Amino acid sequence: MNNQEKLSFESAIERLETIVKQMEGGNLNLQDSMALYEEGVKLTNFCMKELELAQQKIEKLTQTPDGKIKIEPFLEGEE
Amino acid sequence: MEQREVFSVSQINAYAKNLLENQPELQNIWVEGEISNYRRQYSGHLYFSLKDEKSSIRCVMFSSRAKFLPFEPENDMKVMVKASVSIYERDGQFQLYLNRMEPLGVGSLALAFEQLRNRLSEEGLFDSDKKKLLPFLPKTVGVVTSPTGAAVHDIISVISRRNPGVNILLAPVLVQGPGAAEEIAKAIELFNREENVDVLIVGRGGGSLEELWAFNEEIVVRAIYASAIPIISAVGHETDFTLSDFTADIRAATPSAAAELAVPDLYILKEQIAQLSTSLNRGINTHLNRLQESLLYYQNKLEPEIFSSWLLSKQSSLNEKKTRLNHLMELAQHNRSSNLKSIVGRLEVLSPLKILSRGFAFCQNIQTKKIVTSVEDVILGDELSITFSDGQAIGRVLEIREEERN
Repeated sequence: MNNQEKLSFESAIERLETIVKQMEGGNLNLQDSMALYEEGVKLTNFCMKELELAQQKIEKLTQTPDGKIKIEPFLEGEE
Repeated sequence: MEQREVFSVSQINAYAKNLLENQPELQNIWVEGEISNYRRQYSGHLYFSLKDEKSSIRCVMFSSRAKFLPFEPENDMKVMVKASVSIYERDGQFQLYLNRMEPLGVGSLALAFEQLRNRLSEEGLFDSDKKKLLPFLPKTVGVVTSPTGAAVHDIISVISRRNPGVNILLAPVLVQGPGAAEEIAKAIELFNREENVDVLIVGRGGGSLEELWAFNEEIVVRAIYASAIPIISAVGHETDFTLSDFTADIRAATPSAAAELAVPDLYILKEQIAQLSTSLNRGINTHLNRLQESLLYYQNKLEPEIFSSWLLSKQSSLNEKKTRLNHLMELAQHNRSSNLKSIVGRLEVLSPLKILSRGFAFCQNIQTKKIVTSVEDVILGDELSITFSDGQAIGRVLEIREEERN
């Protein structure tokens, strides 16, 4: 699922490039160009939102002898 | 009577074995030779012969020793072994018991590397069509490496610099020494089984061939091959190649380079989006301007004064056409009536009534209804009707006078 979100960011950029090229090429009627513009603005917002910074987490994944998974913060130079 | 001392076979074998094992010259010695009749038992024990030009000797290497062999012995391979001479009592088999074995001419690790590479390559583990694409914008990067080396530091700092929103999940493992390969393989499996990470970096900083060895072990290579998560390998320096590198979806020259491959630079991405956004706005503005210009053009055409004069000109030309049409119609009418008059006039001239009015009459035979134009048409007694311009008279032929023709 995560993968698809990531792919869609990439394809959003690609689509945005296509839209810009189409608009620069002219030969569009008003309705089409407004629709493209609207789509382009939405894609831009989507991309920027994707890039919005989440709080970065640096964690460490270990498995205890009984097979349980343990995730704890990782501090460099601690070990 | 001769006294015979009789031994059992077991006694002889035990005696000889004891004798050999107490000869320091035959214990823990280095022996060089070529392998033949090589056989690996299911239990892991190795059986073969070592030979030179003249002789051969049976050899056994028990699995407790053989399991530390990084390479797989092969027939015709020249090796040096550290072994003790003894006898297998059951068969009286004189043989060498091996502690160690090294290939001659090439290091055992180098040989093991070649052998495993060939085998795994044949199996298709390095095939390029099996490589997965890296995700474009990962949210979480999994890292399998030592928690204390320079590698983990480099990876964390590069990722944080390029995109401080990306999470890093480290599986701390031994990267060299006994058990390292198992830990690395287990960590890769753990990430695949338990954790939602988008890409894995598996590696360590630089070191000797021995120190990097874990990344050439089959268990690690297979774990990398089996991973559903795309893997970037980053083992050692630019010049170090391990089998992990061949198997990974992409090889990075160093741990820092792996981090760069894993995570796109946020600054560059934002720049790219901003640029696209600017182009988009410029595009729509240009477009709208163009449309507005053509709108203005048509608007001008529709100005009221211009429109009404245009309307007037259309009206006057319409009127003109109507007048001409009327005129033509009249003309045609006139032509028709004058034609008629002349026809009537000509008709009147020819009318028989007109002739009768000038004193002529015509004669018809009442019985035959024929017009009488000659005396030969009548006989005495015929009744004739004589038509004048104003009426008729009925008569009877009383006499016929024929005029002389000549």
